[in-house]
Amino acid sequence: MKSTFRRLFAELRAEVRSPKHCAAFAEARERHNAFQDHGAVASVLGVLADGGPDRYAEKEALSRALIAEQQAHPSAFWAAVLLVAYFPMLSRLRHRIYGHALASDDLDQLVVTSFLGVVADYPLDAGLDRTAMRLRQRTERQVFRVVCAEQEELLLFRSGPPENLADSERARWPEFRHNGTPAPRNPIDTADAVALLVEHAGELLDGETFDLLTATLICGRRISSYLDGALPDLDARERRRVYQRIKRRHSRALARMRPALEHLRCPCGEPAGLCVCRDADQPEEVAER
Amino acid sequence: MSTEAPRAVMARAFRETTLSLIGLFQVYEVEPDLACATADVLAKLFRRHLRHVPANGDTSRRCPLHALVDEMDQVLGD
Repeated sequence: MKSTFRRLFAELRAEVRSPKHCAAFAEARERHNAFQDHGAVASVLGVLADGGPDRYAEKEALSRALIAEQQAHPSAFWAAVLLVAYFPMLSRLRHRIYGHALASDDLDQLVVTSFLGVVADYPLDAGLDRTAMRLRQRTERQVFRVVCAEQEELLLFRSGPPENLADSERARWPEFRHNGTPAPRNPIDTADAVALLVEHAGELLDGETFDLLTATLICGRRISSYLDGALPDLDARERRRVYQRIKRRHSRALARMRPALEHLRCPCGEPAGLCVCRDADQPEEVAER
Repeated sequence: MSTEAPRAVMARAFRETTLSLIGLFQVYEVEPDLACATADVLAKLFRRHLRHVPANGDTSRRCPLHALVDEMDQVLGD
């Protein structure tokens, strides 16, 4: 077992059992019948750890209650509870990954963030059963999609012609901030980031699309989080439809922006660009300012 | 700035200001009431300086700042 992965979950287990979270669990118990028979989160985790088939209905209800709680009140506590509850599944998944495209610590983080992403997007209103199985399948798909893409890129980097590598880099530009990366809270940095987007892409975007791109590119929010903030009252079916529409609009906007931002990429030949390399042919070398 | 200034330059400046506010409000997750009030103030200034009368459109369920950018785009497209 990877020691970092095991250590991470040991810390999470200690965290969820901390008395400081008793109030959060007590509040959640008021909201979910599934928690009624449990005095503390340790009891919930005990039921979920039961491998027998007899308590399927109870475990299903608890899983759905935990997901609902994390979706409605996202917090480190509920995320940690879900991670601890699903540790056996996540651990098996983590140890099925082979390859050298990502470092071991990055793979740990990939499994964790993919699972939490799946939890955030899980459609509780869709009336699906076998929640644990669906979480596992969706997390596996998410993880292996990223690992395969990284593996292909590594292969391209090692054996492909340089033109293909340039195309692959261009397709990812501008890059998303990693999920969970907070937006710049320093007002000066925030103003700089927004002003940059206005200056270089403002003319290409309408107000709604600009708002969306600020949320994803500057704030690092997921499109689903953006949708929750912009249109919180949608029912499940309408939400899925609007989500797909926003996702398409987001992709089209990024494609439209790329040429306008091209001169800012590293390495660039223009002194007004963002690139701080001294030599355009050696982007790794960062000039001292 | 006087109303003699070119409409397009002014409309573009108002548009960039509005986009900047949309971005900052998104980053700081401000209350919708503040976004509405800001849009009202900006729209009044914009319409007064450009002597623009807004078209009657369906603005229900839309952020007023987004609608204001559309209105500015109409002026720029005229």
